[in-house]
Amino acid sequence: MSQTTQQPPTRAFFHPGGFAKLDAKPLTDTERLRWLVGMFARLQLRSLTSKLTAVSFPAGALMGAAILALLTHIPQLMEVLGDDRRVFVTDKAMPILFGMNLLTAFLQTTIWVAPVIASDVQSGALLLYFSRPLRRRDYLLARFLAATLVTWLELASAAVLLVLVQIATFGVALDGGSIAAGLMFWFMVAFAEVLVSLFVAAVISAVALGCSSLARSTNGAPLLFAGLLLGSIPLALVLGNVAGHGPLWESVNLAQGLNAVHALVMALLSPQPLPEGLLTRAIVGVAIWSGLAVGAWQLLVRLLRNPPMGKGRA
Amino acid sequence: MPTSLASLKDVSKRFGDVEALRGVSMTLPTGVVGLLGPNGAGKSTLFRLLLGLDRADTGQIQVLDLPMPDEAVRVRGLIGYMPEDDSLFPDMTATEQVVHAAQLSGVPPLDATPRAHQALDLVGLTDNRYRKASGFSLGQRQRLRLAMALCHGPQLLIVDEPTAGLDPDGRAQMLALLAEIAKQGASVLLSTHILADVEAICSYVVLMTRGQVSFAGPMARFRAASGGPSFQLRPTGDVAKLMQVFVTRGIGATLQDGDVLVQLPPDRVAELWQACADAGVGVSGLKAAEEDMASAFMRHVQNAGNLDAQRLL
Repeated sequence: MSQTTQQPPTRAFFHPGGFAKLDAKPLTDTERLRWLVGMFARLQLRSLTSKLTAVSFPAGALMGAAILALLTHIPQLMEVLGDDRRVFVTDKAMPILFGMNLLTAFLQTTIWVAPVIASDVQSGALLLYFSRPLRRRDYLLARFLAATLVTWLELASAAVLLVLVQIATFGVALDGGSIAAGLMFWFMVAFAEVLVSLFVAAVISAVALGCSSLARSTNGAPLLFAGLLLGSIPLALVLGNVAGHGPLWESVNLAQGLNAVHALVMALLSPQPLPEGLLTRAIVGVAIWSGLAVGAWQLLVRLLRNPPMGKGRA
Repeated sequence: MPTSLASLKDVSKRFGDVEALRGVSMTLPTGVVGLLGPNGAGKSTLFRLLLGLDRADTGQIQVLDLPMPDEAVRVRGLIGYMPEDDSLFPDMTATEQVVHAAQLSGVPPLDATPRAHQALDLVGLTDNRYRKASGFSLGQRQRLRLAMALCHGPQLLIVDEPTAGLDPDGRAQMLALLAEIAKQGASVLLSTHILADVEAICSYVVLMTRGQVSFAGPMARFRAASGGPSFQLRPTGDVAKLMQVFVTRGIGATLQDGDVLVQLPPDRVAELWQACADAGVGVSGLKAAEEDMASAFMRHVQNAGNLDAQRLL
């Protein structure tokens, strides 16, 4: 006697006589988080695709041209060592180069990341998310990871561009044993840049999202984030004047603080001695930014504990 | 199938000094349930608790037989929520919005698109599925939000003011849609200020005032209960004498177009027959009295001491 086993339907569909016929295998928590990160990243890129095209590529090209100009016309900023044509960026040039990179990151984070949670609050999308089977921590984590990913892509692409321009300018010797040393150096530069970029992207994204949850307005959040960055410059100057100039107070300048991290990593790769005060600036910079990031995270958690539900409601 | 939509036992919720819910106990049956109440009555707080967005200070809640908020994530997968506010992404097409909502509800990506098209067909947005929501009329936006709430096949559909701002035609279409969805097997919890909407499609009514449940029961009982006329009697004979007997027996009665509306609980119907016998009056017709919805609502709210009821009518 043959037995026939009816297989359960695997596709979800509307079924006359009953909803809730969702027989498809639901997503696991990890799949859901991965999907959320991808979706949030796409949403960020999608709404600003035009800005991305209009700002990032010309900015990158301009950055490359500026670096090229620096390397070609201001030889005192660069140092070519030995016959293997390894090129080291001196401490005078580093703040300029990485500052440009960082400026791009701050600009992009202000435009891209700061408004996202505020936008969800304003549009009522927060209610859409939270009335679905999502945990609040999933939303927060996915938003943070997506923001970091987008910022990191921007930073890393600028970093890679920087390395490519340097290689294009000075080339890589293809003869003898110098090839390995030269290539290894450039790989280390690129790797370090990318690693630093990852760290920088994470902390500035967290702070930008914190501003977003505090302002709850798509205009207010970028202004708050930009105000925080710009406000730290005069604060650093005032503190420096009151307590005496030094690397400690220079790091209160938020852009300077992260810039010092870049400079520190690059300096560690260079055979030259570390510039004076660089280590202090980097440590204090990281400490201040980490503190801000932790504070921002607390703000976000607080917002989501009692989220504003509904359009424009706070 | 769940035995009830939701069950609340002595649930209280306070926001600072405001007591949003005060010892609410009720069991909502499956079907189409209407939630009525003036502003500030606690309807939104009740929704937040049912969706697991907030925790009750005291009491126990079960939604679709699952305890809240412990099973909130699972319950939200079984519920479709159509909020009063927009919650739309203006840059996305209708299909993208519904796919997005389906995936947020855990529908696998491959299934989300066909389900989105089915949901858009169901709400009548087939021809507008590739248009952006920013260009939609209010009625189309409401339909889109309904499609987003439906796309994952919920057991319970919670709709908050679905007909607000719609013209009469749009309102009738939305109500017909909700009735159709209920016919297909989903339960619907409808919150509205428009009494006629509740009257049109709901079989069970919950009235909330000042954080408490003033009434919870079938629609017919809503019209009849607590002080309203319970029987409509058509007497043959001396009606004046019958009215006198009612007064003597302490039974409330009024004349209306030749009929007598009698206020008497159903378990005391024998007294009605006795009064007729005492008055020597025959009865050619007797039925449960029906009060119009607005009068019933006014009476219930006023019984609960709420003076703002008039604003809702």
